Amino acid sequence: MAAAEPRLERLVTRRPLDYRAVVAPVAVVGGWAVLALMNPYFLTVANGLNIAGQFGILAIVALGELLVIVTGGFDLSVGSVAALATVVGARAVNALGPLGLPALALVGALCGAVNGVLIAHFRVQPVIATLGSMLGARGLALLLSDGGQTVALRPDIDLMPLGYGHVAGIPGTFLWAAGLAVAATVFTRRIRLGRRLYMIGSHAAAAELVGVPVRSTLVWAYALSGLSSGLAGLLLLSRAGAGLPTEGSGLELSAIASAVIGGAALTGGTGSPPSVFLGAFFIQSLLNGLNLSGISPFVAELVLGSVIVLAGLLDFAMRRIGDGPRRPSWGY
Amino acid sequence: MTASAPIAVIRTRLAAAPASLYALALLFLVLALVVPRFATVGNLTNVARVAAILALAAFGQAVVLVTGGIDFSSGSSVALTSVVTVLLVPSLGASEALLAGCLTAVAIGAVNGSLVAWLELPPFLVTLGMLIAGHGLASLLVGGVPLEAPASLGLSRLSQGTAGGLPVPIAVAAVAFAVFLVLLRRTVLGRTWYLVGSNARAARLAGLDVRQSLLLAYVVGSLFVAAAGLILTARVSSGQPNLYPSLPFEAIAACAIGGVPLTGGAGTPAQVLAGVLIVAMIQNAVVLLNFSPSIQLMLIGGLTVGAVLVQQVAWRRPSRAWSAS
Repeated sequence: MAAAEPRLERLVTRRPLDYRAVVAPVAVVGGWAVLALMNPYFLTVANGLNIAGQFGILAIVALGELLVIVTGGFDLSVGSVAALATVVGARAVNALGPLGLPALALVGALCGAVNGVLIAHFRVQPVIATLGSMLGARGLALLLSDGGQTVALRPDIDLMPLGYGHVAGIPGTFLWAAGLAVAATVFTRRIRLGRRLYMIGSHAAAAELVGVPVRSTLVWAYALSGLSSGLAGLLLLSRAGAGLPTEGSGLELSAIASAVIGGAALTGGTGSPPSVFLGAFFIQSLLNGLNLSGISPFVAELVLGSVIVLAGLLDFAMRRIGDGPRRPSWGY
Repeated sequence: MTASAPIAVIRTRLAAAPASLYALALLFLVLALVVPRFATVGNLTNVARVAAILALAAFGQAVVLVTGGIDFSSGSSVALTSVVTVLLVPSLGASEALLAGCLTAVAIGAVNGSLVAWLELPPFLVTLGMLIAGHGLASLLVGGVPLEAPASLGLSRLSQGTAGGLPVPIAVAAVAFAVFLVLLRRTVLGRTWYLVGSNARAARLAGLDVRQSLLLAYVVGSLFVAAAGLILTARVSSGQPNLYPSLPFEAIAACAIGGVPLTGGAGTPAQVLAGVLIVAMIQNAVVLLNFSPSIQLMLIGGLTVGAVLVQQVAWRRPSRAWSAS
């Protein structure tokens, strides 16, 4: 009888190789190898720091997107919301000075909360709700900027240190993103609300039966995604020195691709922030490397689109190998 | 008694009509009363011309929506259709080039359909990827700038000419609507799409070839989009990589506003048409009233969410518990 115990313990503790966690590191190493072969300048410290500086915005949005994807939904509005946040933020900062900066986070969180209420309380499909807010936020951004003009910051306000500053040689935007990645990791592994996102993504009905407040948790997930768009908008605003109403289209796709490459299942229930951080790093490296090699931006678009579809294929493959018999909800 | 029978028939007919048709009629009345120059023959023809292109895209979108999928790639499909057509005119001749343009769109549909049907990838991811990749490809083919169409193509007939007394785009959309109607109502394939959309597993257990019907849905959908692409090409008379990037979003909005649920398995051709006309009339009214185009974006976005919201609240009162979906 006693002999059965260690065996049982071994069964419980020995986990199969987590295929999903492997993809992002492999993609980054493989991608860097290819890009370094294409252009010798790619693998220099200067360019590494350059990528690190560029990718903060994508990483922050992708981390927010992950929280929503984990619940089994997704958020198409992140790019428009970031653009709206820069416009509102630029106006608020011009009126109030640095006190106006929280407006960006507020706008983001508010847009996200609206998505969340529509999806959780009114059961509007995530596609429709976030598509609507994508159009709505873009329209509002254009409206508040006289039809798409950039909203320049007052000359006496300089946000450049925020967007381009360095701490010990490391770009500040990278540190922002890394800090948020750590926060998101703690949130999804140690905080009750974070754990509940996974329960909902795995089986919403079961989660509700064991007492998870599904609706309010979902609203939180979308609000946090919106908040991260607002923070990305803050970096955009500080780098450009102006509100950019037409910025950020396509950001949602790069963010979803980052999340999937980072091993998040589009069927919900799995995904880890550090991997998504790496996934975003991979996407930004790809765009940077293609750009460095003097390849047309259109090829970069072609590659990005293919990477998104490939990420889906990867998700399919991992469902087959890693998750065993688990089938997508629309399985046939 | 004899007099009341037809009235009863009319009454049941009216009750069965989709709510979006009433919304359409109401909107038309309001716009005709409020917006100057709206209800003139010239303006309404103009609305119909614009609606024709959106309608073609929306029919294609609706076919996919009925199966429970979604298609974002049409924004790039029309661009690729136009670029490929114009590029190939010198070497292939006009009619072959038009055919090649159509085939490009169909090829995209086939790729989408295969990935969705056989590899069970989420439709939104596949078609978003194709939207980006297709735009990259179309831009690459012409170096990012519009390529003017040679006059020999005779494209102007497609946008300016008339067929059977109607402007060609409207005539094409009318024929496409008839095809769309028969396809969804009267063919085995069309009925299969509804079954697959409402319960794919049950459809498979009932002996239907779910994968094949899904593939065909994306291919047939892309045929409608190809027609929209050709008319758009004729209108701008060039190969444009940035032809109509918001087309899929407007098409989805039109379907949602018409009352086609995005969960699949339901939705009628009349609803799609009503949604298209509502979107086209609002776009027209915004221009006539001299509002900024950003208002148009917000209106369409708000209407889309609002329409789905109304459907959820009025017809499928959200249950208290989260049913396993």
